Amino acid sequence: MRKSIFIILIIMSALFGCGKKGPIELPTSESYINDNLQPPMEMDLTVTRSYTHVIRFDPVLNQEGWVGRAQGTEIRLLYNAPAEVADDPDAVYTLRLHLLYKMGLSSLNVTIAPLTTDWDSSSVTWEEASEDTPWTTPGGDYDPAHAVTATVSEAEDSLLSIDITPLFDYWAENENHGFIIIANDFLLTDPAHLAFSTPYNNDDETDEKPAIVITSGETTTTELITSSDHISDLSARPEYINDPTLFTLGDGYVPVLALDYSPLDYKWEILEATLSFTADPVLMKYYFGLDITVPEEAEEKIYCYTVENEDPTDFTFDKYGSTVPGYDEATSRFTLDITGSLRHAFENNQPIGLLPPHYRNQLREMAITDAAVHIVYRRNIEEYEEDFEVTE
Amino acid sequence: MKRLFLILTLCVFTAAGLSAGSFLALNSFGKYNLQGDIRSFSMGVSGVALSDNYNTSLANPATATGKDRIYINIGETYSSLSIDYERFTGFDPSSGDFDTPYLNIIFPLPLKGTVLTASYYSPVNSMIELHYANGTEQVEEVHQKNINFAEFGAAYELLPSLSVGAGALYAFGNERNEYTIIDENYTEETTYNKWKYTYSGIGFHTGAFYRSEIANVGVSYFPAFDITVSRSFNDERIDPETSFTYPAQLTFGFSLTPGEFTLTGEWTSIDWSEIDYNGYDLEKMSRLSFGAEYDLKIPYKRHGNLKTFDIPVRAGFYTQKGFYEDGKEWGLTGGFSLFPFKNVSGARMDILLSYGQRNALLEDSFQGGIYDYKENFFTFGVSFSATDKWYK
Repeated sequence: MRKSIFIILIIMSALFGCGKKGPIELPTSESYINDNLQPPMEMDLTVTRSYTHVIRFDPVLNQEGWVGRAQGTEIRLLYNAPAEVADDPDAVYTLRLHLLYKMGLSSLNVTIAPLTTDWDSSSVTWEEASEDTPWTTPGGDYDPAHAVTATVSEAEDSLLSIDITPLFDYWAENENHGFIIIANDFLLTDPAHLAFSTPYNNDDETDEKPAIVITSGETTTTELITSSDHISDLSARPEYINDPTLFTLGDGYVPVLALDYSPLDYKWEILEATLSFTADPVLMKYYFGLDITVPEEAEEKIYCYTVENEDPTDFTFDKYGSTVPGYDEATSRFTLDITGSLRHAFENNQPIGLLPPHYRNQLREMAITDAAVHIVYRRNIEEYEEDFEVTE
Repeated sequence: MKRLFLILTLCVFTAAGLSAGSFLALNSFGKYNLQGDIRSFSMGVSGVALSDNYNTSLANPATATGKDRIYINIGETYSSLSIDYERFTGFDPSSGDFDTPYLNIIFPLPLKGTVLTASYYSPVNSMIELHYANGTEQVEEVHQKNINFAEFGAAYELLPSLSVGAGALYAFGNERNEYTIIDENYTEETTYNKWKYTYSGIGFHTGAFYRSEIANVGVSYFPAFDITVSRSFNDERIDPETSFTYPAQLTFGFSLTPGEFTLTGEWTSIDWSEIDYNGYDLEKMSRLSFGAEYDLKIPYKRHGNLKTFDIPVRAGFYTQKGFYEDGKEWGLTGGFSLFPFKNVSGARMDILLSYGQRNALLEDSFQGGIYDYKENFFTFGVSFSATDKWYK
């Protein structure tokens, strides 16, 4: 019995093994044109609505510390100060800062003053020194009597040295809570600010990180600054709003586009979707790292989110994709590949919104104009379904 | 025995999902299969009037009344194809796979001359997977089509020479077309479309059988019935449902038993031209077939005693036209039986060997146009059957 079954299985295996199985590969020597395969087609999607969703919050300092004005508000920079004080009463204390760039101004007079109230870098805001502890004066409590002033007019990407010995005179008698840098000039337009490196800027060389340089006789010691933050006055800004008069990209500013998907059939495939827009090349360079002279070197990604809930008080995102923006020299427009996000937005009939790479980390703002969405799509292959016989 | 049939049933239904790669899958419902069992296939596909201890009820439920024990018959065929399609110059691919699984059970009731029947078979199936380049696109197409019948019926011996049978059948199956297009020029490189058309319907099958000493006559009739089609795109259902009418099939046949011979003849017709399904052009099908079986007795000596070894051998021929556009098909068939399981009541193994040719005019699925299409096929089939010792 077992022998018979074994022989039968052997014979069946041999016979069933005959013949080529699997796909039929058409000869590659010929080229094929399949009329049923829909070729990729292109169209512009109509923008039906646009607005900017604005959230009020104090930005958290990350790799840039700003002093000046941006997004219609004043920005101040706070640093802690090393407690080290030299024995030498004639010692000179110099603040070393790396000036990353100047935005919208060539020079700025600044005041550097010792803070008189303790503050917490994780929760400090314009109104509060730390959580539930307001400043006596919104914007920071400082002692102007021991402040120093300086004019920053150095070139971008250079090291500044500012003598802040008077601040150490203050700390010799009082508790050291660090210091604040405030723009002295009355700035009417924005963005207009200086951007300094921070202790957290990993790109900086050690000798470019903010520090206090102590010179005593012929001895020089350097104490690195270990924490910083910037604060801005956002009190005039609404807590939540969808502002139809704005189309601005930045932290707290999410430009939203609602698109008309009606020309598309859900069975069609979106092969490529590109958002193009016009923006200030200077801002694109400093805020998003895209230099139009070498766009291929851009590294910072911009996120494209699909918007699940447009209610300004409960504004929520769904899915996102991120790509490095590009620049089209022929049209002088910036471009962003939003294929993945738009596919999801199309499938769920959602608007799309843009966010900068470090959401809520940097107070930056950039107006976008003339945003347009262009897609490459493929119609469904079996279009004959339109002619499908329907039996009622 | 139970374990053996369990394994064989599993093998057959596993193979049921496979079907021979054929360009016929691009037109009509796919490849139109012969219907019956391996024994009647061996006799030119003429089983409607075949009735003895070894026939099944697949072709005619009325023939089952001859059984007084549970009878199980399970089989499968495997075809190797060489293809000549004039659409492609100098391209003669070959393919091979399983194509016609079936299962038949006859269950006699204690009431004399009354039996229940159950069967599964696949009148239509086939698939093809094509790989080719279309410009910059790499395309993979998979087309699979099948219609299966699960039939449950009863047969009754009206008179000692006349039996009738009837059954209800559940028709099920699907057409599945998958397209994968890869074009690296786009962000979304891969386009994937899957259309699926799922069939379901209830039909009937009736049969009558007249037997005498030397001649038997059988007739089988499937009334036309509606098959409902539900569609889905990428597994998402698309309403409304549609339907088409599966046409009526009429089969006449006879068998003669002069001496050790059994001679059979059969004619069957089904009017596929009435079908309106996705614009496929189908034609009325008819098939004429003849077959013969001879009970070959091979003498041998064992322990000095002369014994005989019985091997029923069979041969047949069929010619068929229609179904496909300008379709023509013929086949030479042969086969024999073996009795490998001596300890199993009535167990035997039937072998089918068949060679034939299938011709049609086939529309080019790429750019239209009609081209001559030819398949030469070699088919090997095997079935196992047994009566159940435990009953009666």
